Amino acid sequence: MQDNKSFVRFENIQKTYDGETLVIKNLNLDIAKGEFVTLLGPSGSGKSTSLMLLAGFEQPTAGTIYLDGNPLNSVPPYQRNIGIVFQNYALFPHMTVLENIAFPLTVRKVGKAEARERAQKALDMVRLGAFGDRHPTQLSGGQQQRIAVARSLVFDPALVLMDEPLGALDRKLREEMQIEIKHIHENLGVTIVFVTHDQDEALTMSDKVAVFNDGIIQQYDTPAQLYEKPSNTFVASFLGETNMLKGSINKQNNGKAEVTLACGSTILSTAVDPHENGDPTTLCIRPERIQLKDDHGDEENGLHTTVVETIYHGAFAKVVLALSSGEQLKALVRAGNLNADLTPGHKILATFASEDARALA
Amino acid sequence: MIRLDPSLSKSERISVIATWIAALLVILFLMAPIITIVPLSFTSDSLLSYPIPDWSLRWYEVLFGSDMWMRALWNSLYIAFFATILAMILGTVASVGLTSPNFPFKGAVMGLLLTPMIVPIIITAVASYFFYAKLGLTNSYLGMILAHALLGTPFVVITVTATLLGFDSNQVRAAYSLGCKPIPTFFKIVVPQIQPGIISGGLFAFVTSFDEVIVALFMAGTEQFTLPRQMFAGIRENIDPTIAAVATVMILISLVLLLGIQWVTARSEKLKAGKK
Repeated sequence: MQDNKSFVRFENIQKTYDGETLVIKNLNLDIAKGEFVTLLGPSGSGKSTSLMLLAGFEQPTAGTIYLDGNPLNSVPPYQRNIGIVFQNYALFPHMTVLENIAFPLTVRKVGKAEARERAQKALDMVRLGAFGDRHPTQLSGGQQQRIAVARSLVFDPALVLMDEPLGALDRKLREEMQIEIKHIHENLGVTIVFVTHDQDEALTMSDKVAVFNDGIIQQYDTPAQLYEKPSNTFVASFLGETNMLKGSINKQNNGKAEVTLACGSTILSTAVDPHENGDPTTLCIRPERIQLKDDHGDEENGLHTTVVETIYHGAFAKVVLALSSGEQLKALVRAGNLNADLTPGHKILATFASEDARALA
Repeated sequence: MIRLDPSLSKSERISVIATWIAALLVILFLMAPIITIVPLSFTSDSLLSYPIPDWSLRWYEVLFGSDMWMRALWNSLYIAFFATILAMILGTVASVGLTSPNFPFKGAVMGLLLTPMIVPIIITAVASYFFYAKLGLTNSYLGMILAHALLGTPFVVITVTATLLGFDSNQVRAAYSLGCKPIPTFFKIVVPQIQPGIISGGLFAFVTSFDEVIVALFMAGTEQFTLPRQMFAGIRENIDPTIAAVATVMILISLVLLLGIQWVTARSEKLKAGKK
């Protein structure tokens, strides 16, 4: 298996349940061996359906899914050798924890002693070594999900799918489990496809994230690229907070675009989508990329604004500013950097680098 | 004696006492036939009537010494046993199909499956008789078993469907993903969890077959006479207290089975409660 070859491949996948609306419109996705890939999107975006197609619980309407170079379409789920972790754990309540974990081994006719040993090892891996004789219902949600993770890994599957596995846990536990799953991934080198609607989870855990919306992958990239260089307004707004200002393109040169905003200011920005001069555009600027200072007249890439309110968050403050066009601009200011007077009504100049303003379609 | 809560006011006391009296009257009404028949089975007299001159077990001796009654008891148990097994299998398979999300015309099929419970038994009996006569199944054990299985299946469908509603279908998917094929998954994952439903439905089916007389009137030859059918025959020819003894035995068996159902449901509720 070479690194540049794809391990999981979705090729021109379409899926419809009712024969009319396509839940997945045209999916092409390559996942390399050992990668942690997250399918991120709002509900109904097609991410879970994609996972079910890969698991074999649903059949694609068109297209082919390959695993390790072999087409999967006619392979039933029980022969795919893919581990799955479900949001509601799906542990077998009539079996003990150890029996649950040993289940995929006993199904594969692994000897009793060996199955027990491997199950115990998997249980130790998720730090629940002493819980083997209990029944799943006697354990907490987080413990049950760790058992489900151990069960999905114990038979050395080629691939593990996780369908919103942390969705039912509270925030603190979720963060612990994120780190734990990440470590398991690093230690075992198993390929993981993870589905979530939680952008923080996607950014912190993944090697790569595929952002889904409306049955289409909007962008497939590393978390840093997605956040810093969103390729469209959906990705920009879905991942983190962003300011979107309407304007039109004046001229373009060397990947830079001069944009006139609705408030009248002219801004130099990074051109992302191909534009004609005169085209409307949306300028995306992350709040933390904006600097604020007292307004002493025009500056390059400076917007004249008025403070609407300042929301104190401890480590940082969120400042809401109004432009003359009526649009609002949000800026994040670190606690030590509050140089300007941010009382409501005060005039402030908001500046940013041209690399941090992205002109999208 | 029931002690009343001393903090109750006078009108509250009256209403509590009135509730108790009403409840006792209802119980008495429901129990009256049983209360009448059981003592009669212990009479020393050869007439099926009160007052009872002296207590005796002679009618039980007659009952357990009679080939005719013993064969009827055996027939009843034999037919009820196989009818129950068949009803459990058919009812369970039907329920599993009916609870799958993409089953078409669910409501209609469910209604159809439950018709043996709703249609007057005499109709089922006559229909079975004419249909089975063509197949040569009247006057046969197989015919009786099939006809009784038909009556018992709806009970299994109802109880198993109820347990399946609480069953998480992701467990089936999980089992597939872990390498288990569909049929082993059904037996290793689904059946152990819907067992309480299968068993309590089966007990209902057993009691139904065990008590049933109308279908037996049409379908059973003298060879296949069940206890109720034999009682029916006996009542017309000679009424002696053996009938009361038979009835007592039947009540006892039904009682044990009903307690069994209670126990199974209580146990499965406990398991469910344990889950939360």
